[in-house]
Amino acid sequence: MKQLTALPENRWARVLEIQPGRLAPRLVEMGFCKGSHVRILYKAPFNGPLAIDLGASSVALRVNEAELVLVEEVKGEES
Amino acid sequence: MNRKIALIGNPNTGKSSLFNHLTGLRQHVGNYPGITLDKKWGECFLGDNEQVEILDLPGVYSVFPRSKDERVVMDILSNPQHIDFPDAIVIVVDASNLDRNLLLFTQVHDLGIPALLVLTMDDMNRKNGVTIDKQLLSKRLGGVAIVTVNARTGEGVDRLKRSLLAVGEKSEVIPFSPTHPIEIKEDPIAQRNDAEVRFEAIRKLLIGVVRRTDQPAHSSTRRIDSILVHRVWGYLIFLAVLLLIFQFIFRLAAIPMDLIDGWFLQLSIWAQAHMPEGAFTNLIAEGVIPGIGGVVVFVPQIAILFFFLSILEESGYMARVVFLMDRLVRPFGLNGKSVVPLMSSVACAIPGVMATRTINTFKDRIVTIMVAPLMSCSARIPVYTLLIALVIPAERVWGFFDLHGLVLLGLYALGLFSALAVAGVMKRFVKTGEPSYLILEMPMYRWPRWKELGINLVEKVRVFAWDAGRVIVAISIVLWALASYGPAHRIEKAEQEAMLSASPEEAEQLKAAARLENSYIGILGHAIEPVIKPLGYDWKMGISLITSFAAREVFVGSMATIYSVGEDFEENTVLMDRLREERWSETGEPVYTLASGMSLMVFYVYAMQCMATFAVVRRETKSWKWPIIQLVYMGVLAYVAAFITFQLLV
Repeated sequence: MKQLTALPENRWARVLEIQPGRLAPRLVEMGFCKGSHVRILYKAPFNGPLAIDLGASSVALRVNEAELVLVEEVKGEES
Repeated sequence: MNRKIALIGNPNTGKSSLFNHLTGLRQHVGNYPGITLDKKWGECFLGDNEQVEILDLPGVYSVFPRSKDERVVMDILSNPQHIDFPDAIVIVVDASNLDRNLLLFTQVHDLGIPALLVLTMDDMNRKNGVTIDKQLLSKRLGGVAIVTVNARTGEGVDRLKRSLLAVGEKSEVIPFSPTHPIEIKEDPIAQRNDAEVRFEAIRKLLIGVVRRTDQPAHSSTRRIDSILVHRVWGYLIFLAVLLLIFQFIFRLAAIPMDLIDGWFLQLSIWAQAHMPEGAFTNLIAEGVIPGIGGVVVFVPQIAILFFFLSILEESGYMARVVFLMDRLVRPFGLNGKSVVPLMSSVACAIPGVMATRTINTFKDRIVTIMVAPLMSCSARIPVYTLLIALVIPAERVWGFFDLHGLVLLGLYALGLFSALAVAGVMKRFVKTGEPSYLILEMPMYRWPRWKELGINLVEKVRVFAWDAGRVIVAISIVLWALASYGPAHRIEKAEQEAMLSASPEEAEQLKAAARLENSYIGILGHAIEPVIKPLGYDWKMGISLITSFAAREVFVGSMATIYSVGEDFEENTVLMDRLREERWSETGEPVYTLASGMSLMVFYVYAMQCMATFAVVRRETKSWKWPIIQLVYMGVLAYVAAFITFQLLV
């Protein structure tokens, strides 16, 4: 289990948990719920936002928000 | 009573396009009490004999509010007594992202309001080799009617209208989640768990509904993104886009603006000539007509800027700008979405402030609005040009930098850095209880639709002209009256004195000068001289400072009137010569020196000398509080900065 920010770019992972807090409901509603597959598409320079691929949509998160998403890498899937 | 139908859906589903297809230009904009969000509704004819009212609810991912403005959705849908409570609700669902979009559907469904589901973007599915079994989906969603609509072309809208005729009573609701949305509307933890339960249910019910029949076409969005959000090319392209927009605003807007100025001048002259002489004619010809002209003259800039902003927004590029810029402006309490409004303010703060509408955290939006007028707008240019030519020697620095240009550049830089610094300070003071966050969908790239752009433009212009325009006309009439009238005996006496010493051709100009000097504003200008003397200004500048609340460039015209000379200082140097000769009566020192001129320019960097911006800020924040705070803080900043400048240079 690791934070989404620690995931290498373009590597698929499964969401295990969203850290509880004020933003948790919004993240879940945007599709970051348990079991969904995510990967980092690209990172903005200077530690800026991350663009996350959720399969059917892409969402930009700041590092602070991305750290709330805990994931587990899915082996053998790369694109 | 016409039936009320609400449109709801996730952002980027084509909900607004659908609203435009249904209502065309029969749209209205109003207020919800207590929030800044505009209420949008419109009329739609379903058939020959039924007209319904369509309410466009804000784009949301859930019925539970995640910001102050989103609260309106739950307020309306949970309360059948609410005046906007709909008889039926149309849920717009992006067929290429059913999982996430259906969350909102299941919530609305469980609220028990008769519903109809509109599938948009089904063409995307076909391209990606995905088919949706609509009959099965309808069955699994409790028998809801499903209509496929292409929100871009309008294909399917007629089918939707026919289905709306039939949508009616809900018989029995089998909820998707054991918790009713209203029970948990104040409990975010329960809302989150509820969302997980609903997503689980959605995943199950979609089995067999969504079928992949083909390999997806390679996504062009990813390919475009590899350039547009590139760490080098991305920024360069954004810079180029900005430069292009400015070129258009400066070059293109100037033409209709000059025409409009000319027309209203003609209209004033015509009214003056054809109406019976008297106070009423003066009010119309000198107060009302120029006041309305002062509103209309902004329309080309607003239209051109929003034309481009709509393209950026509709195409999906704006989200990429936010992605690239967010980190750079965050230290100043701004949001990636603040960048385009602030850059727009370099042309004019009015469209800039209006463009902050896309910033969905209230605090970030307020901070952006508050600092937008510090960006050097085009109305400051005439003031700067006059003063620079007057007090800055035309020299070259290190052989090739033109000193005039350098000072002008410095004033722009001062405005920009002040805007960032003030934003950094203000983010500590604006308390909203909402956390600042960025969770922003990056939509797929799409071609903008021209009809869509047209409707957006008309709406922006309408909001500006009606809502802000009324305040602008009112203030400009007051300013005109204060500058044209004064204690009767004073004006008459001064006019007579002016006539005595003048040749006939000078008489009119001298009379105008005498009137302004002895008007209420003139008297006020005299009265504030002790206050502005430490900044290096005399009462004549005081008068011009007051009159230029109408608009910054009025400063030049007022100076010309006071000194009874022509206004065009670039071709006609009389005003400049006159200003150079001006001396303090007590000391005989020149009034316009490097110190007082720089002080005046610094004053114009900071002061909120623009009633139109004032009116637009009131319109956009839906309160008098923010424009007044802005007026005061910018005024104090202007005074202090001008004081320091003068005292350092004198």
